[in-house]
Amino acid sequence: MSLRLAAPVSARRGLRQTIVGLFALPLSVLPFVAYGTLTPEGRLVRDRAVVRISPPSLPKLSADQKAAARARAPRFSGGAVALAYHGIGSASADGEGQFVISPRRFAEHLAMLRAAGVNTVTAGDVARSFTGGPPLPANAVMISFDDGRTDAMLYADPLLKQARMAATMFVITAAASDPSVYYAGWDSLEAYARSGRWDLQSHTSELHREQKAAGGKQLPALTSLKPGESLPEFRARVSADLDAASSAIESHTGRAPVAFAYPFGAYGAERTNDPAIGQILREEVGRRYRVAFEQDDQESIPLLTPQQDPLLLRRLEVGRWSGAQLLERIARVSGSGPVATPGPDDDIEIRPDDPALAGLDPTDLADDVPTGGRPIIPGVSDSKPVPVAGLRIASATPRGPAFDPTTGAPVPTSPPSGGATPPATTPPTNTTPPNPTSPPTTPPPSATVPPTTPPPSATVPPGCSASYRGKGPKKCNGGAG
Amino acid sequence: MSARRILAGVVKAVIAVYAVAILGFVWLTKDLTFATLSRDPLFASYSIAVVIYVLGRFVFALFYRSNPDTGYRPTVSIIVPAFNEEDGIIGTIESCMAVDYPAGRFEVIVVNDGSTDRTWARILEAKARWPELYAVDLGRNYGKRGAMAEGIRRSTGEVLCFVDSDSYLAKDAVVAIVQPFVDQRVGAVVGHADVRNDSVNWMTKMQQVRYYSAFRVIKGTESMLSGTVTCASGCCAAYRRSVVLPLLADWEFQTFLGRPATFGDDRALTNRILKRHRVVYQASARAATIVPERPRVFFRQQLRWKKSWLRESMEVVRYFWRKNPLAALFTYASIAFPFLAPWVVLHAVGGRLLGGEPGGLWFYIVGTYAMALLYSLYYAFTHRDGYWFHGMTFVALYMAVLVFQTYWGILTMRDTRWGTRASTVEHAAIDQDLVTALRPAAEPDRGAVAA
Repeated sequence: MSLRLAAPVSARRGLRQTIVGLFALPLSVLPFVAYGTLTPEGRLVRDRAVVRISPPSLPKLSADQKAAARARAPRFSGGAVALAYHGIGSASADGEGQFVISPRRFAEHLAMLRAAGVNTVTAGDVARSFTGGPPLPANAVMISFDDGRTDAMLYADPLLKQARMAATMFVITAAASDPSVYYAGWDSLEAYARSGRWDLQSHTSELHREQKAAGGKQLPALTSLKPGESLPEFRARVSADLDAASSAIESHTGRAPVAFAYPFGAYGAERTNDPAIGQILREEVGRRYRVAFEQDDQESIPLLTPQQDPLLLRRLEVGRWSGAQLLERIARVSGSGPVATPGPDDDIEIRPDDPALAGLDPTDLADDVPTGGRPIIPGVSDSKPVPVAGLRIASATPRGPAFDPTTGAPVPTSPPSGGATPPATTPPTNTTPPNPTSPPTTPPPSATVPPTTPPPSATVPPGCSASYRGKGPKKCNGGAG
Repeated sequence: MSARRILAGVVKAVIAVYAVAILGFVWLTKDLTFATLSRDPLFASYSIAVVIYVLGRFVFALFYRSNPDTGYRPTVSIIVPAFNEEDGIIGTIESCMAVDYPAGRFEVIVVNDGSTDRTWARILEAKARWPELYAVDLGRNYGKRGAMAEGIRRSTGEVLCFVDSDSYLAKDAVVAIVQPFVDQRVGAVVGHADVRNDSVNWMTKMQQVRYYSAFRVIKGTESMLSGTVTCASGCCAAYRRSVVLPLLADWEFQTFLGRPATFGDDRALTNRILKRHRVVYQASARAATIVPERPRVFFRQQLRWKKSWLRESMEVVRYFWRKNPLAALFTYASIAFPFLAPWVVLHAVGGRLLGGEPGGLWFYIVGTYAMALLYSLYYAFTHRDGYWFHGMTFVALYMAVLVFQTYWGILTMRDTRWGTRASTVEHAAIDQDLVTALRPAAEPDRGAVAA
């Protein structure tokens, strides 16, 4: 092999060329690096490689973290807390950044949920239980993802497997039939569904998009009339789309979907161009699904119970929170866990010495503050419903009728005075043993809450949650799905 | 010395790991490709087919081994057709005369095809130096095939070894190239060609890498699959006399579309032999050849090769299905790809320009890059000359320019000029009255060859 018939080259020139060749070796990796960092597909390929080489695993919780998990463990029954995740992976600088959490963070969430004794349920479980089926287990948490994104399943599935948990995926069925790097195809969705870890439910067939609506604005296609479209035409369009989504899921998984998630969380109360749309959509969704989910007003998410409007169940959008913060939010939603001092900031204040946060670097924490632990200050002009007492929300009516002003839909709520009528499972009357840490700090609901509770409709129009709206229209579109 | 060897070993190990990582990357992208099958069937199936094709070739090439020297020494005639090669002809003749082969069992015949420069004078100088040289001057220009055919008719060896007048034989090339002929099924053997002027500029470096993979990977694979090399390149190829002679007239006066088929003599002869015999590649038979140093000449040469490839492929598709099925699959694929490739390039680039997803173009580019890198690393693994990355230069040039030559070649099929030299294009039988033949001086040698 070494025999060269080539014309002789001076030794110096030959050596120089050899050195250039050696340097070219590492340089030749650069196009792959560029592909893996600058293009979305490339990032996905890189993520796959990462998962393949070192699959994500649940972190081993430190004794402190375990203690924190126990301390913050939510204790409730008769309902469920619904969590909405978006992407998992390497958060990019795009608009979805704040809704993409790292695999490590998601793994921490699952580990803490497990340590806190949470039972995961699927949207199917919730739907069946709320309509006369078997009751939900205690401490039921529904982990859900929207859109059928490949990156979410790529990282979540091995972690769910280790944690022996199940999740719900709301699938955009048209995207699954025409898979791309972002959306998983049916072959992989079917495999995930067969694993028993994934419950596939409906997220429309192809109406997960915005359109140029009548009136000129960009609005979600599911909640707006196209230019020149009549209400009957709108109903036919939505009806056909939901039918397509349901039959696709049924034909691929063998189970008809019973749950629905509104794209962008929009159900017709706002981000619409016709007041009648909410009611039409409600009828069409209600005809096909037992429950439907949105993400309104993140600060007052209640524990989901059968007493609420099943077509407007609300999910908690999970940000880049620590596991302890997640548990705290769940506890607040369910009205069980520890409730902090009445001080407005305290409930999600980040204490650097918090044992649950051990092992996280300070930049992580800084990162978490704006999205996760957003301090809510009551009494400022904004005067949102104060999130302090999950107790309040769960104890009283799950939702005031004012939440549905445009649809006027019959909301199965008990009157405000009905605090005593809800089943014994709602938190104030919760019979679960009180959390050892919480009683001392639990203020009597009546003492703290009423003054700071404005009627929701007066201040916060339904629709985008506060955090959601903050992302701006474009990000709204791509982000929360 | 040992430090150098250790360094070389480390580099080889790094390259091997790197290549495996690239394969891993390709594997990870596979379902991305499969995912686009329904949306973009042409693009996706082409990508999948190309990857399987390239990797399949590599797998076979890894197991290629040259035939060992079994002591077989048939009589050999080295035939050198020469046209306007006054600069290089002496060197070529010298390398032929210096070959290690039993005296009396080989002869060298140089045929001057009516050169207009001082080639014949050079040949006469060589004749003075090596009286055993057989020098023939045709007296006018007949084209390369005419010169080769006249050389064949005047030769006596059992094996006919053709060496282009710009090529140089290694000392052991002839011993190596005759070994596969032990197998009676073998009708032709092609040696391995390196680039002689490889250090001149990026074009020649690039061609050196290209030659290596074209011979070692492509011909190596074809050779392993029941001896189905489709082109015994003219720079160094040997034929069994008994197989060539019956085909001689048909080949010498081949026409295509009513025009004399001037170039592509090597591919045309291989094609005729391949119908009934095997054509194998012998990596240990080494030659070096001069390649174009300027882009213009390079592109003309490539176009010429493309045209002869197009012409011969029309014949290949008719009989290749009877050959080794895997070889047939590879060959039919290699004929289909160049027809699809320009559309795929236009699709990837044009789709993006027309507002398609940027992902498609990036994926295409990085995929092509991965394949180019694999080819180049194959070279880097065996060569320490630092040229390896020019393999990617070649692929870039191929994607940008050469893919489109398939259709350009079809459009200009009837133009049968060489492009790189002014040569005749009309057929004519050799007029023996014009021929000057200077036979070897030493009669005993001639007798030995004839015997």
